[in-house]
Amino acid sequence: MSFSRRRFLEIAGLAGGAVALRSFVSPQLAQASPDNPQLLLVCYLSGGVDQMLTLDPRDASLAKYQASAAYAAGGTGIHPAYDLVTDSRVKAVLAATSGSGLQKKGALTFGPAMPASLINHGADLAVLRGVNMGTLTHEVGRRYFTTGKFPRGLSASGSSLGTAVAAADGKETLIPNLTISSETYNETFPTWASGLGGNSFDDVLSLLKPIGTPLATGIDSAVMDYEAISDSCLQRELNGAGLVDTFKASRIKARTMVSSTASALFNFKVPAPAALVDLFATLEITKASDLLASKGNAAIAAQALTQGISQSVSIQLARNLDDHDGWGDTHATTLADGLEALGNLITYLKKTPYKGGSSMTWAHTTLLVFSEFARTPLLNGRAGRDHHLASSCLVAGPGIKGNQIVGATSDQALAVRNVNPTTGKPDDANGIALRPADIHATLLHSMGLSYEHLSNQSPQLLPVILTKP
Amino acid sequence: MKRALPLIFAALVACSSGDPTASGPSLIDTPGGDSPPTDHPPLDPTKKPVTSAATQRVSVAQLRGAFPVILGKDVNGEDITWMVGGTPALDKMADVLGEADYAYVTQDNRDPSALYLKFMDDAARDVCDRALVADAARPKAADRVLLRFVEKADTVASNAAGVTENLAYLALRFHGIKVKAGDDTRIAPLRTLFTAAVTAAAASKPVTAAHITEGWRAVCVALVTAPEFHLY
Repeated sequence: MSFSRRRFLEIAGLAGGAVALRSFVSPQLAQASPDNPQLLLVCYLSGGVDQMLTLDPRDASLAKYQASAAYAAGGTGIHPAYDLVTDSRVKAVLAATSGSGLQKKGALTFGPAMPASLINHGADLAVLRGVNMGTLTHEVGRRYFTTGKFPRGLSASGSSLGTAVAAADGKETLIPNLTISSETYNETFPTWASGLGGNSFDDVLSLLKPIGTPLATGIDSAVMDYEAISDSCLQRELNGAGLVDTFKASRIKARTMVSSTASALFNFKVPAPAALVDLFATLEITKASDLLASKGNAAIAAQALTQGISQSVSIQLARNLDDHDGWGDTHATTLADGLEALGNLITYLKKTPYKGGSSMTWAHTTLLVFSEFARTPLLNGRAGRDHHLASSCLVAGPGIKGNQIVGATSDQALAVRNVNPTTGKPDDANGIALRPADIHATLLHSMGLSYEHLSNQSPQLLPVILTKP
Repeated sequence: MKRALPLIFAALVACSSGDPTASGPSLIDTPGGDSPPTDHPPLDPTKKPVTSAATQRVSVAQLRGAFPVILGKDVNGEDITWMVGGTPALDKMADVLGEADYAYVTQDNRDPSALYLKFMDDAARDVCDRALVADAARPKAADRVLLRFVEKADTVASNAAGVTENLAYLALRFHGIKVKAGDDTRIAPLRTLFTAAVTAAAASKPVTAAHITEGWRAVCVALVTAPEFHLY
């Protein structure tokens, strides 16, 4: 649906300037080096986020957003309903903002569920609003934003952003592309860049340590010697598409991971071991159950990035956000918990040197925070919110200008508005509708990496957020 | 390139003996005899190579089915499968191994990823351990799964023919590859592995049955972690 709408705009000439720009974008070559690693942190909010609570708020104190006006014929079709949220943090924000729910930081404005721990990093953050997801199906939206390519049916098309970044510069890292409770895809990049991980620190540990009794050292070597020379006729028959080669490369990588000492970095427990005291304190991990939720995932990301275990880390920050019922009771709480963990994670990355060196990890980290789509601006009959096309996302990084809002949704039913990619301002007549492909391309470009793998999506860079357009 | 040509030619010749359309015994046994079946019309030689479905990795469901068939039963008479902490690990780790749950994930992921191979390493050691323990309790060779043609004290030095026969049997059992009598190219690497593992286990001490068991454990693990086991 997104494509046909976009294509219609292009054919109609309404986005002519944008089309011309797309055709002449030349991907840069990678500029990363051991001294200047390009790290990526991708955070996924699962289920579809109510953007009014966080990145794309509305002033709930205005009459046009009260229920009586919002639901009326000819009304705005937008009902923030912040007063129906039971989360104490949201209530506190409403009380402090005279009911508007708007939290300002520099040029940014956030909704009442945006935690202070993340707002405090506003100078680094760029908010992209009015992203046209082109789907209301969870799998499709999730995979669209994960790869930057619109899926084929439910099947992902292309490769994850994390895979593309890991493939550029992550070969020497132990787990180039670590994924925690996130989907990962690799269509065109080397096998070693494929996402690895699981759902918790336990899964990371089980990845880095043998389960059960390992073979004795000499016997292990004998098995590997055998594998090195093993080359049966059947292997050659099966290797038509290179799957046997892939299998063998994966087997070597698996052995490398197990033989490392990295498992100690993820040996999470409460109370924190001495080496993890600062990490756990910064992330406010105080009980064992924290380790299995957003705080635990943030801790995994912190270790993987600061210790140079991974080039790219993708984590799920919040789950079960698909609140078709009882939105006011759970949505803001789940969302704020996840974003609070992210805020604390950024704080930790800002104060922790990369691999013990002289530069802080955050100085090398590019960030993308997304969900598969947004939620409807009006509550349904079950006090919930359904799926909505016009979403928002958060980006940051050394190549990204922070303290910016790019794009917008309309004041009529939160519809997608076109944006001028150079100014970031809404431009309904001549702008473009923001898509995940544009955001992927811009982030990769900001890291000095190629985005050629997205070429069939005609990605449009967003110079407005690039430090080096 | 010139140096590589003889090797490539040798490899092609070696592999051609496994061509199911060639006369003589097939490398791959099927219940109905050599493949293709005898009532299959002659294949058009001008259309070689015969292509089939693309290679893929076994699914988790297929592993659940395959382990008990290949490894048999443990000392308690239970089907052997990968266990961690007393629970079937193929169930516990199904999502990590790529099995769809049809709630959040609706398609199996069959990539032979490093994650998958890491856990298959763990699985191989576990299932091979329990198969060897079970075999140790079976006095009759015909009842054993791994040590079918050898006794637990047999080495290459003491019973070369038995070890070779047992390795050929294991290649068939684990990989479906029937090794022709006298064809040592397939068996020699496995025999080297067996001997190397026994030597490593003995660590310059006199070889005991326990060391020899380590040799068979290494062979079993190598077979379970081989591409021939997981790809088809």
